[in-house]
Amino acid sequence: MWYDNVSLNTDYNYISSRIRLARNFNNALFPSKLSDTEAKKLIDNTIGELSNISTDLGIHTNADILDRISEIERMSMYDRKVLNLTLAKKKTPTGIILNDNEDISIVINGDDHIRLQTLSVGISLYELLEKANRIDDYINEHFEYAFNEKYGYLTTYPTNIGTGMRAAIVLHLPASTQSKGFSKLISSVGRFGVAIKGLHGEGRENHGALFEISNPKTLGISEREILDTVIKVANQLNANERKLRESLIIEKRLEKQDEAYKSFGVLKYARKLSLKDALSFLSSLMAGSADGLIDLTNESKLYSMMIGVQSSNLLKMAGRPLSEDEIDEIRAKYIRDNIGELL
Amino acid sequence: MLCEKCKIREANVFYTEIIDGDQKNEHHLCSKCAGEIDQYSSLFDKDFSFSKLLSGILGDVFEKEENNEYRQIVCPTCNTRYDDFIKNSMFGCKDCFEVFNLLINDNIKQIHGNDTHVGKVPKNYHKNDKILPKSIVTDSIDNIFNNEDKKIENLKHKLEDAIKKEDFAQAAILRDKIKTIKEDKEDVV
Repeated sequence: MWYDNVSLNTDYNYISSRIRLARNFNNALFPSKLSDTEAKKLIDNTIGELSNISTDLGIHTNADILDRISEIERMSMYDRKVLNLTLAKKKTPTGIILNDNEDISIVINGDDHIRLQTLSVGISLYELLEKANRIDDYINEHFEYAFNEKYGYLTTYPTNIGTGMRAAIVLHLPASTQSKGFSKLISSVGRFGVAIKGLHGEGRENHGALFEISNPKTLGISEREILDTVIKVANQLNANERKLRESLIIEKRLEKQDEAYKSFGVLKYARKLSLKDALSFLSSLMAGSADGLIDLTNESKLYSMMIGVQSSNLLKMAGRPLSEDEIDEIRAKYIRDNIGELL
Repeated sequence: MLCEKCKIREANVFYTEIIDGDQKNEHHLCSKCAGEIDQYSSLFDKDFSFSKLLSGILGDVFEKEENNEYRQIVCPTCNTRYDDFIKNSMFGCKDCFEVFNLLINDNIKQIHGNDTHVGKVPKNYHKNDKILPKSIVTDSIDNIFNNEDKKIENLKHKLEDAIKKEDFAQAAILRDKIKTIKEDKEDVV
């Protein structure tokens, strides 16, 4: 998978980057207005028309219909960032073209006819946009897009018109999260034209200290400007985190090292772990490892374990319904099997 | 920061909203505007949704003007009514943007801080596919079309009138519109 190797450092806290383009075809009603039969026809036509995408673009892809994918697998695809929650739960016909490591996906007849997404580890929005543009142009050679000069790419939701683009970066901010001014910082980034959200946990709670920043506006601002803004704010958040972590390594070295080793101990030997605990300990271990306070054989796998510990993945592995206790037990086993050793 | 609705008082109700599963928008209102309007006050309910807010913004404009014909406008291509659009905040097809253009322009500006696209343009995009001029859109206010045939028939009458008046620019626009509707009728999947 695209996220199997995430390497962080005290001064590099970028987990992943994502570009999403929303497009509609010019000669068809938007998805909300299509009957199931019409939607199926549109999906078949699109998948058929794009059947040479693998050879033409040199990416190995498979096409599928979401109906044929189990509910648990769809939720797992949501946890793996392939689908958003709406798509994972969508009941009407939806198609998907996905490549082997899942860093490229084309959802057909989601909210819009086309939802093209490119993903990568670290901070690499420009490369992702280039990749997405290449695929976008390829689709556009086969289908004319709904577009006008005033509103740009025409999308179902008024919040996506214009570029139809969402650019997002996920950062790991364990020290920032615990700092006093963090909630202030979060509410202030809006002024710079970006939105920020915690990835795990509801409301004010956050487990795992992962935050995604993205552009809320899509009209009247070019793709390049959007990327520049998102990257600028990501860099500022990263610099803020680095500063805090550098001083923690010096002033509270023993505490931080102890936290990392204790986290490793729990993850290595626990027999039962809640999602909240698993994410929190993985986050502490990730920070300790990035700061050079603990050496692990599987350092670069810690982020992929944050996806692996999600219930959807554990249910998928078990292949049967599980009680909450059983999930916690299987979660602990999954971690023991994947955490590796101390170096 | 000023309230995004009245743009007079200082905003003191801030909230963020998750839309279509993966995006988040920030909104800022003053307590008066937030409390006054039904749609806004629903933000204190748990099930507050962005579409409700947008509906608030969109709906409010025309309720005040007591201009109920606006509410009757129907997109001839996909049958989305302006009321539906206000309720769901969803466009049903590309023609909705032309039909509702004048009604939504200010509100789009409110959402995005801008109302004109800059950035990528599809390679095969034809420049003549522009937003229709005001006359055509306001015409549709007087005539609530329920199907393409009626729409075409009506446009044909208008085309004849335009030719009689030697208003060829208008005639060309009407001709293209008829053509588009006819083509779309055949092409729509």
